[in-house]
Amino acid sequence: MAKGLFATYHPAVCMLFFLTAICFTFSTQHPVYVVLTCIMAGAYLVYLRGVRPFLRSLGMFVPMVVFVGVLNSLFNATGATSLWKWGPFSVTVEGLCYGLAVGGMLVAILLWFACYNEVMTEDKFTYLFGRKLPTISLMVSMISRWIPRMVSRGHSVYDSQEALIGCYDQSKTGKMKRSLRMATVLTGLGMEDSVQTADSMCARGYGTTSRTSYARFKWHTRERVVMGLLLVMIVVNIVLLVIGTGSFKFYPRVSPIEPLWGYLTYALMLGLPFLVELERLKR
Amino acid sequence: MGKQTTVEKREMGKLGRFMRSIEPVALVALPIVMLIWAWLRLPNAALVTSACAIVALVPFFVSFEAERRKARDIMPIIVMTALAVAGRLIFAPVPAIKPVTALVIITGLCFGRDEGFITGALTMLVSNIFFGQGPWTPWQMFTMGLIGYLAGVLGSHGLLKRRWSIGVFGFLMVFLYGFILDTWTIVGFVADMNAANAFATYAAGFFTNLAGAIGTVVFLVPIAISWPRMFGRIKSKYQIGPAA
Repeated sequence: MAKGLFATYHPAVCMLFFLTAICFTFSTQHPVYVVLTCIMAGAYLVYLRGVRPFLRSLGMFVPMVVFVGVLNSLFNATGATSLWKWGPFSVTVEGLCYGLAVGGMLVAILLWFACYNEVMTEDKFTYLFGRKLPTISLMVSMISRWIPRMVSRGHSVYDSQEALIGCYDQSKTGKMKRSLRMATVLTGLGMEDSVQTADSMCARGYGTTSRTSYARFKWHTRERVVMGLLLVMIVVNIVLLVIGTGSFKFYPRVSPIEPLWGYLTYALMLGLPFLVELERLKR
Repeated sequence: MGKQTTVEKREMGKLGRFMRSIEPVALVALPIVMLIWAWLRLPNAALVTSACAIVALVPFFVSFEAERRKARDIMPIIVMTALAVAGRLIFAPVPAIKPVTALVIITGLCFGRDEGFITGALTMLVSNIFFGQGPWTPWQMFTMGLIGYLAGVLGSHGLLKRRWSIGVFGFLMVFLYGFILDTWTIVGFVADMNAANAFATYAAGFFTNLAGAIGTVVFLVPIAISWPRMFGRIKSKYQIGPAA
């Protein structure tokens, strides 16, 4: 398994874990918590994808993070310790700290979503929601199949147009006109095609009864253990987070950072994908 | 095309009818909840508003499921969504054209408000499967769905019949999309909201929105008359959807 043991768990466990990670990351800007979630998400993404793709995706996040960080630190007058002032702009130590914390929070969220994209593949998503939303999930998987079909149809339409009409004017309007014609042809073609698909579906009994699904995922003992562990950790972490960081404030002055037990439990919870790897030791 | 009443109105359960009836409420309530949250400076704005966006999507999806559509009636949505997502790849050589919003608008206009909403929402969901999911996904789904829904509503009142009115509508809708998502960024990720913050965010997005709006109009105006005609032909040929 290239993606590690955690990705082989039941989709419900993976989904709950990512929901937990993302919700917790969203809900605190306490610097230590932000750093911890960043580290855990980054480590997991490196584990899933390798170092180089990790750095590439990190590079994609930078503009948005810088923007939010600057926005939070630049246009802010609530901080007490002023660093620099010019007209309406004043940069304070507190504003800068807060900007960094929000930027870090955003990095962590984006990293968690990148991990989610690796682990929660489309089949797992469909498995989870297929019974609640049968039509929608069927449509999502049909759309995914139609996209490459559209692209390859697009190429053949383009080729046949080129063969029929011969040389093209390479001007901007010429290109635009060609693209529009291609879109029109593709839509007409797609609509007529889709009717055939629909008739074929009807012939095979679509809609005559409720959908059954082929379940690749089973609910074993390990799922029960990990799910229970995760639920306990969620409760413990909520309690420790509220007690430990409730008094923490950025404004008007940044509160001192105290050592808390919450850091340990938080790291343990977010490190669940690594914890389940301990199972390998048994063998 | 007044005579075709071949496709009877589909039976929906109680839940489906209720969900359908609160669709407009969901559309209006979500932005209001976001603004109240921002006004009162309540914590966790990004998380809460994204969760609210998911809740706002529920009535549309549930009532759509409750219709228990025939296979033929879901195909237009599939084709248009696939085209909108694939359009990002097919039209990559022509950066002046931005097909996504235009296709969602045309779908809402030709097939009705609910088709418009589902097409918009699914377009964003599926294109994020390829381009990366994020905390923005529910808001993108909601906003694009809203655009399709509005196109359907205005279309059913006969307001979007002319080339120029469709073009203007498309232009405005791209700005609406940018405005809603920028507002969500401010509410969710900026602690000290003030005029300067808001201005900086909107200004940073302005030129992207302008380019998107122009690209949408360039795509939308030439197809504004011919595509509805084409869809009308296909609909009557294959008896797709509720009779127009």
